[in-house]
Amino acid sequence: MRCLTYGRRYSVLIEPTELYKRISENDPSILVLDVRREEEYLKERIPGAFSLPFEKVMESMDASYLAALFASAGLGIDEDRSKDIIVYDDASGVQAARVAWTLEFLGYEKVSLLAVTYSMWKKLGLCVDSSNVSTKLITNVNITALRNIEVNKGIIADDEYIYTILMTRVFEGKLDKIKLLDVRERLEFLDRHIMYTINIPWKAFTAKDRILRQKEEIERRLKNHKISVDDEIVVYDESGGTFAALAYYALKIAGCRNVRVYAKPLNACKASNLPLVEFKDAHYRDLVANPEFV
Amino acid sequence: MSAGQANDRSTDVDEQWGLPEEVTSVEEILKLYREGKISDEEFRRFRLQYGMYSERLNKEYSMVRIKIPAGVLTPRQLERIAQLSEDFSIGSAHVSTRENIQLHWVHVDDLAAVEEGLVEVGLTTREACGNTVRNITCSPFAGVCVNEPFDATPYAKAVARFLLRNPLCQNLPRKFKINFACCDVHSYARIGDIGLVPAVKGDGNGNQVRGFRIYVGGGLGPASYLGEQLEEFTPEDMLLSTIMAIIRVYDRLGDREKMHRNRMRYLVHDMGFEKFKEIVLKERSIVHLTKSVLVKLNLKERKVVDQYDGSEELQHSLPDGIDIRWYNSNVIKQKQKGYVTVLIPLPAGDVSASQLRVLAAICREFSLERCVRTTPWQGFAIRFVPESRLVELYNALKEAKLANYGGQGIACVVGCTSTTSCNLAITNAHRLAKEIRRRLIELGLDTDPAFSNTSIKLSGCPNSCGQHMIATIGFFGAAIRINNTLTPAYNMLLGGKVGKESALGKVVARIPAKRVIDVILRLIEVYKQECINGEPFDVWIDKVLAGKGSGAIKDLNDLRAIIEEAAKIPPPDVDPGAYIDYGSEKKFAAKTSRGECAA
Repeated sequence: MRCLTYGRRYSVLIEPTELYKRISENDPSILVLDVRREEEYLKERIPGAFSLPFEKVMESMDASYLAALFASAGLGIDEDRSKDIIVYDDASGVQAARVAWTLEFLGYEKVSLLAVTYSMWKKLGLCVDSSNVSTKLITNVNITALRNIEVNKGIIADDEYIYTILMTRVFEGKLDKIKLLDVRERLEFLDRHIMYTINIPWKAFTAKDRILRQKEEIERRLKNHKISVDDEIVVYDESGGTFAALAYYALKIAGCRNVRVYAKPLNACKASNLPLVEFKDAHYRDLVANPEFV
Repeated sequence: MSAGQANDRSTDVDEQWGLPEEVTSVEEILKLYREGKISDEEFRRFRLQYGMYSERLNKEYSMVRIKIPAGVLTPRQLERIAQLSEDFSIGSAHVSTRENIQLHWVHVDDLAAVEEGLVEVGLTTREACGNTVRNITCSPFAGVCVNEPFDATPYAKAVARFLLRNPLCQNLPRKFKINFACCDVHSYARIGDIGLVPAVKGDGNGNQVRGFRIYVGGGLGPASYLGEQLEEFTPEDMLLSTIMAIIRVYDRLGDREKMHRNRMRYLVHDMGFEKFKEIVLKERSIVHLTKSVLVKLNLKERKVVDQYDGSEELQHSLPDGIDIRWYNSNVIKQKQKGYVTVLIPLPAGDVSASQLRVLAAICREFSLERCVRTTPWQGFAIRFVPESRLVELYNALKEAKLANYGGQGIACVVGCTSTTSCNLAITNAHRLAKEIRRRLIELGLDTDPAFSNTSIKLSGCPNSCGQHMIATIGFFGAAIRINNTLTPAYNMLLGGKVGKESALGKVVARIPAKRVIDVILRLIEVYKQECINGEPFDVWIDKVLAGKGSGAIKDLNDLRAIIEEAAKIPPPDVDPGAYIDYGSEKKFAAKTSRGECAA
């Protein structure tokens, strides 16, 4: 079952049973990507999956690097654009989402996330493959900056972009239609956040045994914070756009049309000159059950 | 119900304290507030009635106080609180001394969603704050205590059921607290507006009548009082009339003007207990004669195990694989042979979402009553654990870092939330409580029987959320000038206790926050030198306070000299850290704002 959402021609999630069915039928139109670490992939994987380790994707946002990386992972740029790409991880969907979003950035359109993690796939008793596949590993990323690679700039935001939004708000008082969404955990947000941001911790989008919640639940959460599907939404974290990428897909499930991810690598945004709000009048961090104290 | 049936998942039923229409009310009020159609003040009054209390110096965030009547929580409720803490709060929850569970730093716009999540599993925040009857607490040992005449839990819950949303107590002069005990030893009865200790009395026909010893007018705060016993014995059938009469008298005569004098204990104290008692008893006869026949307590008794034949009882030897240190301070035999209650201490009451989930699973697996209790020591108790399953339980707790030492005694340190979230707080008593506990455990003091009846409790301000007045060693936060520098500090109290002989602690010294641990350790050191015939620490403290010390420390003056010596700090240029509070890196400033516990 697919949930097609408005403004998106391809479903966000693919159910494990559906993927299983398509694998069993040897469906030639699918391409499954495993973004776990190579050694995990080598041990076992969803049958037929290719390895595209998350770490390698996170190395750079440079389009020619990414294009070369995807090519060496078995994604021929042209012929595979017609394929249904399905990405999975074993990290709450966060890594799969970031890789999937990067694929979209590079112009792939038919990208979906497996609705469950690899552990859950196994728990559901679905088949895994543990044969020797060392030949399928990425050995060499051959960057040839010859081709003119067109990237999808509509799903990314950088410092400058956010800065412009903030200035628009400050000077023209209109931010009604543009929302900055910070999906870090509450304590991190309290410590420091970009001015005018809304905080919805990323876990609020995830479910107990699925990487993302149902549409209605996500919609409710957005409604509480007066975020409409018609708004332009910039999602932010401080982990290189990983949690933000998962939130990107949550927003897509809810039907948001215009979502951008702030995908700077870890800590880079600290150096930026964006106006920050700090809150230091309470020792809220001491209210956390810290394993240091038992 | 047999033990087998009790283990069935279908008995995992939540009582419906919450109402779905109240979620709608929260939603509507929030909308009006955001649209600017009601004032801050109107919103404040509303949200306090719903247990939503503004966070420290930040109006955008709220604490959500979940009422846990009698401290009873089901596994499903634990799991829901875990989820809500991750979705809307800080990923941890806090167990309070009045057996509530609090979610902190919830965004105001999420309040209706949190309320909805709670109501779905039967919980409510209604009347957890504001000028109402707050959570009705009950001893976590009620129903299993070897001293008790009967289980007070059904009575505590029935009174809670009766008073929740009751027009009688929607706008009292101030908050109102009711505590049910199991017995005198475990009693918190004398520190509540109303405290009840179960008792039985012969009716002259050879039957035993159930009833309570009711204490009134107690309470802790800047001025604390212990409750006085209303009458020798209040039979069960007079319980509701008595409670109604007390609330009615307080509602009518209590002070509504002077914010700091409007708790019932001041009314009782100002008019004199005898006069108050007379008015209450007169009021009670009126209530009793005029109340509708429909007004009665809805008692729902629940039997967990049918017969206590002790068939599950183990030999006296400790089961293999259990840490004796944990066993000694955390496992308590129940009156039901073969079953034990396991205490789960939490550092200053903080528990993570993942720990709550483990606790829920453990409760389903090991507790025959399939619920947990919150404790006045900011922890949990799991009861009706068959002794034969203790090893498995211990291992499961240990894996979740919940098999911690010091379930009772000196290492079971209590600390209110203080500057982590409260507008009134001066110091970070919460972190300090954790630091003290860690140090005492490092030193192995949790294993020393001399300190098993000693308690340490801290509050971040003179209001007594940390219940410092009833601790053997109590502390409440203050800001003092030392060497011309504003310094986070504590007033230290000695000799407080609850139970059979309740007593309020006596303020003995002022100590910089960074010297509190040194002072405690110094006191322990002195005690070890002074103690004769193995008298426990708390007994020795009482002796010294009474001026009857038998060694070098004769009285409080001798002890004070030692405390003051240990509390000294060098000038700020030598040790700047001594002038900075726990959890801070910057200069201390006593920032506070209007408190809302007063509403």
